Amino acid sequence: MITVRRDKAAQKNHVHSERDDRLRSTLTSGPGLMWMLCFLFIPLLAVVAISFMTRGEYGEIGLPLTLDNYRRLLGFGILGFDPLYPAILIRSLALGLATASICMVAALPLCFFIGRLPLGWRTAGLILIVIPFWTNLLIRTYAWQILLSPGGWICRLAEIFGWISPGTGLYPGVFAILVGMVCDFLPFMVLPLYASVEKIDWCLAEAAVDLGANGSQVFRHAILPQILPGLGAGCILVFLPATGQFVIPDLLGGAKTTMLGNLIQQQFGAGRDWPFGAAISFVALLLVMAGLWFRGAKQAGGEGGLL
Amino acid sequence: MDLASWAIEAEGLERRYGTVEALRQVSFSIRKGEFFSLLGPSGCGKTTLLRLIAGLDLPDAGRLRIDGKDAGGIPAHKRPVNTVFQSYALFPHLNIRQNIAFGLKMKGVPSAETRSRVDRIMEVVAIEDLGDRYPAQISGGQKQRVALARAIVNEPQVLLLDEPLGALDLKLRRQLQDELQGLQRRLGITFIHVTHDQEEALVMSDRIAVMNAGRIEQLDTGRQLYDQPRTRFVAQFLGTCNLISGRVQGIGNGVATVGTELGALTFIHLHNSKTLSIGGTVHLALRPEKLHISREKPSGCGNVFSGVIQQVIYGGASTQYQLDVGAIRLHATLMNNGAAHQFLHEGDRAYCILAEESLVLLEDE
Amino acid sequence: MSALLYAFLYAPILVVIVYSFNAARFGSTWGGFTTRWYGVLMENPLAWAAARNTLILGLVSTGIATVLGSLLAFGLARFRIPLKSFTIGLLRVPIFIPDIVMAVALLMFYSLARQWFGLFELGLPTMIVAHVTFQIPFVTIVVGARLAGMDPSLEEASRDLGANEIQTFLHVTLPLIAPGIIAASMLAFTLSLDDFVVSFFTSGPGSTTLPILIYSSVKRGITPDINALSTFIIAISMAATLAATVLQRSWKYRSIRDI
Repeated sequence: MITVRRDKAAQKNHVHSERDDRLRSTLTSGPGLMWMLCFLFIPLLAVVAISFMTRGEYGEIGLPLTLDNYRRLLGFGILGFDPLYPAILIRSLALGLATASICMVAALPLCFFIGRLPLGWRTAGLILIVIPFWTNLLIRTYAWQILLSPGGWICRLAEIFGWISPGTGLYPGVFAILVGMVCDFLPFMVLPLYASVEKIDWCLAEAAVDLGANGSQVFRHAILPQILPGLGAGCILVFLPATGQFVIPDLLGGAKTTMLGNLIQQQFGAGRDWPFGAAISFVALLLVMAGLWFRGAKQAGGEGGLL
Repeated sequence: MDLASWAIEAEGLERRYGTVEALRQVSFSIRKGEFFSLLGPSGCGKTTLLRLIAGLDLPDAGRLRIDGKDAGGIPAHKRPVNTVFQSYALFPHLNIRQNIAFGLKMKGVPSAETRSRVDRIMEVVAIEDLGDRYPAQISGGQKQRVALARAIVNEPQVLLLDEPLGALDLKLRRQLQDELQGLQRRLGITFIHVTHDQEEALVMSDRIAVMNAGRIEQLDTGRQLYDQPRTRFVAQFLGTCNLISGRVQGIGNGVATVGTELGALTFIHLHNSKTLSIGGTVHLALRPEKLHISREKPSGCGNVFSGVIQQVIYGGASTQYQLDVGAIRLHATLMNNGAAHQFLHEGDRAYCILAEESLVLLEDE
Repeated sequence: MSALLYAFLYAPILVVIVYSFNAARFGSTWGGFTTRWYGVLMENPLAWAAARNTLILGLVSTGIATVLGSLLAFGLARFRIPLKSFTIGLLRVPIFIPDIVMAVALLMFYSLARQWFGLFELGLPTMIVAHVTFQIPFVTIVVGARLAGMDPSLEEASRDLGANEIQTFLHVTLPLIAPGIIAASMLAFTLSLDDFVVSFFTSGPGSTTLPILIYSSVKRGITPDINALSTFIIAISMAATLAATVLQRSWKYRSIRDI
């Protein structure tokens, strides 16, 4: 009898506290969560829905439901196979990959350089990397138009070395896009990589030397495994947004260098083909999800937090 | 006993975290004005129990009364209980004076009264000149005093202390142990003190609850716990202890005989302790300082066995011996007061006497 | 090598600043030092209107996002929340998806809402909603980090000393996470100032912001006063970044001292 009553009291306590928790979480997280549901989740659902719809004669969205938009993206149009869109898809991925690779190659020595600076200078070195990132991307991008246009000193230098024929510029084109991309995304590579480099246990390298490893062997076996997490994080942080970048290819590329982002923009501008634009957006979204899932799977059980 | 004399009454408290049972059927009562310690290794549930009393956590089952009133529905901020946290938990953004006044301010005590009460308490714990400093600017011992002042200024019925001296060095610890004890006597507040330091618990407490794996193993005065441990855990957690197991061979007139690996042992068996049956397994405990060893075979007493000294550790006031009797290793501690045992060395043959009145029958199966 | 990389990062910024003082109107030739373009800029009504819009957009969206994001972080850190992993996943999306996907998603959403409910006429309000949406996750992360770094026994001590939950929040939690909230709002404001893509797709007539103005000038051919405008923006961003860094460092030192 007493036991039953005691259990009931405890149960009442417990239910009570759970209901209170719900009230508290509704009052604190509720508004923010509602906002994200209304203005992020529902719009993304709309993207998915519209991507299966048909474009009307005047650009309006309507039925029937169809897979045509995805077929088109993969190159299967009304007139048979057309490599235009698959080429754009592959070009974007390749550009993302190239950006990530160049950033990696540039960031590695830079991070070791910063890591070897005296303590106070290290922070300064990092802050100097981050400051340009906080100035408007548009400004930094159009500046490259000036720097890389024909007649600029960079082009003249390239002419002297015989890399380009006189009178031509390095802009517009893939080279200019890459320059703009690396300039924009380098901090995304440097910050996580530096976090790893800073934590390197140099005793391992010394032990490797002691055991007779040469320079490249030391790097491969004693250093690389320690900075791999930072390298991986940096690559994801560069590759994903670089693939979907819109402003840089738009300002620094030409007609022949359309990327995923530009293709999306075209569907919402002059082209006015929202279902197709939605389909491309959804593919870009899936790409990001896959990348994040890949990273999450790799560091499963690792650090928590939002990032 | 009269209801009004209990500060805390707990009955069948249970708390689970996922699959971990932090507290299992914990029941006990604490008298008003008592200095009560919860002693146990880390993870034994003592801090969980303290949090349940403070109201910072809720039990899954069981009931708790504070000052005779059911505490089930009373939230932490309305309980007549205050806590001195292990990390002190001083508010870094408030100065010492504001820290101490925090509780009074929250309860809406008029500012003039708050000021005088804070002044008085700062005097009691001897931190009068720290008022304008911030927690980051004072030492560990000072933080401890501030945390204490911040709690007792509210005049709680019960003060909870979660390893309050854990972060301090030994010398400061001893000094503060004395001060805490003196303070408790003067204020008459019930103290519940959590610690994993057995000596601290023995020195300071009126009664101690030894906890293990979510249960109270034994609740007694320090002397009782040491002299009459009821379980193997208690016997070994407080000081060191020789444990000897065997089967009951005979039960006689207040004396029982047990067959052990040493040989037949007799011990005093009182009727109020565990009932014995012939052939049942029992465990006996013997404190090292109650084990006598000598070079010559003593005459006229039982429970004498011959062994070889394996190790001699000289410890100033006392010397510890380890000797093997057959396969059993026994520990003995002898005071260095000039007796003959000083002549024993490693490898010497010696006799040990397990006095039958010193053997304690444990309740473990 | 490393010096070259730093030069690479700063070259575009320097070139814009230098060109804003270039007397030559076109091309990459140096025509002497002048401050003429700043005068031209000051008399450009479009620039003033864009600056006003940018400021309103930044301040209002930052205000909303700071409140919502901080509360969200508090809830996530302290209470059991249904669908917690879904919420965290949702918060991650704006950080990682390409701006343009979010921009067109909102554009389509607004258009549908307009068709069905007559709501969300494109203009400053729709831009504010869009900015708040990408600001909230960043605010939540920064404030959440501060909350995670806070000793949980401080809030327990407060309750133990007789403060109810609201008193605890106001007297203990809020003062302790205030540096995080301020840092988060500065970050959110900077993100809003920097954003072009989302603004571009969700803006309406008359709600041009500075980045949109720069973009359309670039498309039409850069005029020297745009370089002057960009120099202004660069100066403001740099000052803000430096101020934020210095503030954060001094807080860091204070919190180290607190330990």
